[in-house]
Amino acid sequence: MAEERVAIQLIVNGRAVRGQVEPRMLLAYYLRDELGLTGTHVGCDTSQCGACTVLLDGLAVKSCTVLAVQADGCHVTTVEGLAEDGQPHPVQQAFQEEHGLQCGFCTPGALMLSAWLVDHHPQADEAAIREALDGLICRCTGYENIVRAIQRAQALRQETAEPLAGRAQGGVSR
Amino acid sequence: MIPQSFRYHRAETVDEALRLLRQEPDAKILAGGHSLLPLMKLRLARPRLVIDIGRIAELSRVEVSRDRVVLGAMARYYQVASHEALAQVAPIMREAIAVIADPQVRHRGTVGGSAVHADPTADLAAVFLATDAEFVVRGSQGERRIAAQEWYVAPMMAALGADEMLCRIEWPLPLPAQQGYLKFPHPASGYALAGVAVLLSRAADGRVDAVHVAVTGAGDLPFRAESAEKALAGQWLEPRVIAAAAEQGAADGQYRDDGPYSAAYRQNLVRVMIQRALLKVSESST
Repeated sequence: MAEERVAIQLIVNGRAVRGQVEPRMLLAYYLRDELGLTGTHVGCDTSQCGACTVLLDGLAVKSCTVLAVQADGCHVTTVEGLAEDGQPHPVQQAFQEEHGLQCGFCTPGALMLSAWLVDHHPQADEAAIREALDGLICRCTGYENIVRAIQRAQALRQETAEPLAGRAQGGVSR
Repeated sequence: MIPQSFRYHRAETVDEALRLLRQEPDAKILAGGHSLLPLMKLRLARPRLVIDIGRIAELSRVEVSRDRVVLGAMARYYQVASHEALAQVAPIMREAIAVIADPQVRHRGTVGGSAVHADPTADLAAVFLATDAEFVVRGSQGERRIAAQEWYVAPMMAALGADEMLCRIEWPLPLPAQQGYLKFPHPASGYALAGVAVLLSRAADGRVDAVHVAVTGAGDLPFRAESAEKALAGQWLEPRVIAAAAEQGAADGQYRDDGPYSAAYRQNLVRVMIQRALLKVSESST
């Protein structure tokens, strides 16, 4: 039996994308398998670990728990869309400087959650940063350097004064 | 993990969603998807039709007027928690939402989804009970209001007909001014092993004027600890009074042995948490 397919149209990393997807396709798999954006990692696949975090209309969400059809008409930013014109995003630069990663598996999710946090809560103190990291499980338990990296990214953001996730603001049709 | 195949329809209006719900008995309403999609991925839910209400604007409103709060069923946690006027009249919402899951989940999850899912460990269940929320549902017979105390009929089951959907959650203002939610999270899942919501107002002489105490997580169902409320009525909140009220309030719940947590442990935990919540709220400013 042929499965029903639904037409979707979204903007991924600034690029307009059209597709025909099964309704049951999750956004994480659409990004990875249909668009080849394998930077978005699927860790637990049960909405817990946050490795699959992407920005949906500027907000950090777990793409394993969003249907691709729900993202129709939205802006999506993945880790591949963070750098601009070959320049690492301040969050990427901060993670490099502070060594905010060990094995690297959760890093795409850590970067996207951090990009949202630094953009929406630029004044978040250490306690608030740790609270936000509730949404990310680093299996290496390397949180100390992730916290330092986010603090460094906050400082870099102050210097650049440009919203980090600004390119993903506002949906097409919501 | 991949859900079983289903047909998908994005409803533009509540009426359209209700029509689809009547046509297909095996349909599920999709709001934020943070309860339904995990169930579908585990294939504990296998609807033939998913009706997406995520773009129906009227369902996302949050309104605070002089005498009433109206939360659209699709209002997302982060949206409710960042609403300043709501934080003035019902600060307990912001406090409780802050301890639900994590930022990514709060960006998607909805207050209506939590209500309809009716998980007996949901944080908001205690808040809805303590604030005497009214659930406004719509079906083929039109709208009806269901009081919070009638809403949670069984674990994972709300008092909602198969052809009805939740449109909004309302409560009359003013609420008792001193409010608080205290949670004892399960160490692994983060769900409430016990969560206590308290609303309190006091007369000029300091005696309790009104007090609402509701408990989630520990019992078979979330419940109002009415015995605690009765024990506190007209009293000064002395430690001895609070301790006695907490003991009586905890006895209002129905508990059972589950995993490492015995019924006796659960009841004792509720006693301690009611006590702590009352102390915390009584020391808070209005």
